[in-house]
Amino acid sequence: MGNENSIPMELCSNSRVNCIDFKVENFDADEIRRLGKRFRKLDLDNSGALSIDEFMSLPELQQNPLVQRVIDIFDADGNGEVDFKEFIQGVSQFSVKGDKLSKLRFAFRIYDMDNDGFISNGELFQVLKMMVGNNLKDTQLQQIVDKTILFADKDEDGKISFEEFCNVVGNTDIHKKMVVDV
Amino acid sequence: MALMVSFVSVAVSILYTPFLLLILCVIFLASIGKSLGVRRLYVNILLKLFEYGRQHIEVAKKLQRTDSSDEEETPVVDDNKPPSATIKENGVNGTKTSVIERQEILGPSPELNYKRSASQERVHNGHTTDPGKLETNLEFHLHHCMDLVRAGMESIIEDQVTSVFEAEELRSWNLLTRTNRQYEFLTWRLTIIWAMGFVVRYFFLLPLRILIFVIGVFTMITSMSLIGVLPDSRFRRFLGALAYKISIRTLMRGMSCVTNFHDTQYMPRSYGFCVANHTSPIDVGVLSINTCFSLIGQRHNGFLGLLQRALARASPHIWFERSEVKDRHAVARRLKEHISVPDNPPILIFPEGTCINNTSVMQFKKGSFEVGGTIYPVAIKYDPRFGDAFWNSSRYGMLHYLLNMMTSWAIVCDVWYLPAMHREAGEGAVDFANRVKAVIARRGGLVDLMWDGQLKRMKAKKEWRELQQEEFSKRLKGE
Repeated sequence: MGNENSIPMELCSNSRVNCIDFKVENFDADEIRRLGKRFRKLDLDNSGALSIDEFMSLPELQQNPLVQRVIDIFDADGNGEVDFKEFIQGVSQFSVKGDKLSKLRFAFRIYDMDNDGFISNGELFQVLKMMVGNNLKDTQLQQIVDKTILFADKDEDGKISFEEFCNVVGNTDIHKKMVVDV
Repeated sequence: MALMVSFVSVAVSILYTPFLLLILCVIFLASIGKSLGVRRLYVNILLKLFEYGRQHIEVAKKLQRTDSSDEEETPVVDDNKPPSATIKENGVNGTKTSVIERQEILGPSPELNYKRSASQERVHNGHTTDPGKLETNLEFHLHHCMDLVRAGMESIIEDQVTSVFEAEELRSWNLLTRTNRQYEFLTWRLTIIWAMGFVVRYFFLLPLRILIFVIGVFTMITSMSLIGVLPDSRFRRFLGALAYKISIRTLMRGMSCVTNFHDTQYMPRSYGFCVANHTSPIDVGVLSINTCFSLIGQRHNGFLGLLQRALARASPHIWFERSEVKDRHAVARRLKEHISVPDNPPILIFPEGTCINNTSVMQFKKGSFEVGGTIYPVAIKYDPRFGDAFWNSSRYGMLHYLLNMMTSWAIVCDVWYLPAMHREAGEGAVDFANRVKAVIARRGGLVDLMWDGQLKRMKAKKEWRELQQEEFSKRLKGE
């Protein structure tokens, strides 16, 4: 059973990460195999990593306003590409077996664009702008941003920390929405 | 080597006469449209064989599993799956349509996206939308983004668009190596069955089918050009329709096509359009076994072009030059002209405009629904166990595809004729197209998709993202 949960070797050969001791807790062997197949399909140039263009080859993703944020979170090392390890780890946060905390952290990262642990006023504005496009005036957006931050910001530092974020969304069913069958 | 050659020549000389008789017999039956039931018998035998293979594979896997880990319970894999997944995998024709269960999908028309969540909210704050107070009414919560994120996640794991342009996944092996690589070697017994099947397919069926097919093409070309010199009259049209049906039937026998027609009382009659979902060029042949159609399409080169030119000599078909296709008005005018002549056969149209892998129906182009006239919807569903009928035109040329078809087991398909439909007063062409599409999808057991089939070749449009954004803002405003 030992090697059942580790990544198939052929997928790891060209990623820089040492895969041998990389185990995935949230998926069984069958799911990993399926995700591996999917990864290879998305990897159009067979480089062993998915670029943004490769993600964007899916029309459904292309029209998703938040796709850039999702890919950024997948790309944990920030090199602009998503290798198989990052891919599995990204998807695993949406696994049925994933815990609430990691799901909340993923949701937090959607807004925390520079990954400094805080959602600033500007970041929230940018993400909202992505979602609404030109359908709302910037002043309207800014109002929403200010209101949201004011509501969540308990220590009054003008930005939302992860704890404050959890206080606001923790009692919603956000983590239940973040489940995708693999 | 010499021994081999002499053996082959002896075998050929012995088999020559029965082989020829067989072909004559097949062609004669084809031309009168009768069947002795040989193909059906063959298909039933194949089904039994596949079933045996499936059980054999399962037993072999079970043995392997108990060998590797004794403590593990035997039905591990199947029990872990959600019940919905198992149902789906054993679904229509034993194919596996989709791996994940989707609840919220971002479709190209965003009003459908938030069906559940939006309607819930609407109930929640039904009375509060007052346009005057718009600015203060903007309701945003930090968790609002999750629908979009989740939809994105789902399409990363499995998307609907690119998967319909690939061969369908099979639940159990149909003893063809091209369908499933992972079954290449399982047990000796299966390998022997596969090898026997290979010999039958390539050394008996293939030559027979090629011969019949060539004869069919030859019949079509000669009969059409002969009829073409006759003066235009009712007799000529009758002959044209007859020759069309006979040659198509022969061509279809050349691929061992077994078609089950359902609800033949709704078969398309003259006047109007026959509208069907599109999997491959064979669709035309399948539908033409019973009815004579006027075909419409782009002029092709090569082998398809040869057939197109032959057909155009004797019966009224509409072939467009590539440049003309862009001119929608010209196309509409030609269509209108055609259906205004009562004697013309119905026009066969595949409004998806591209071949889909037989699991789904994609967006219907509205063009043919604008012209008016009766629409006869037809649903076609191939049985993928006997060979994948989907023509991946970006990967294979026409002849390569035909070769693939002829070396498969057979082409088995169901055709459902549906009651004629008319455009209702005040109904837009797009709505009408969607209505027809929904009917076809339901009857054929296909997934009804909103996506444009042209995405096979084109990039998605920018406007769609803007539509999503618009929809999201509406949500914020509580509309």
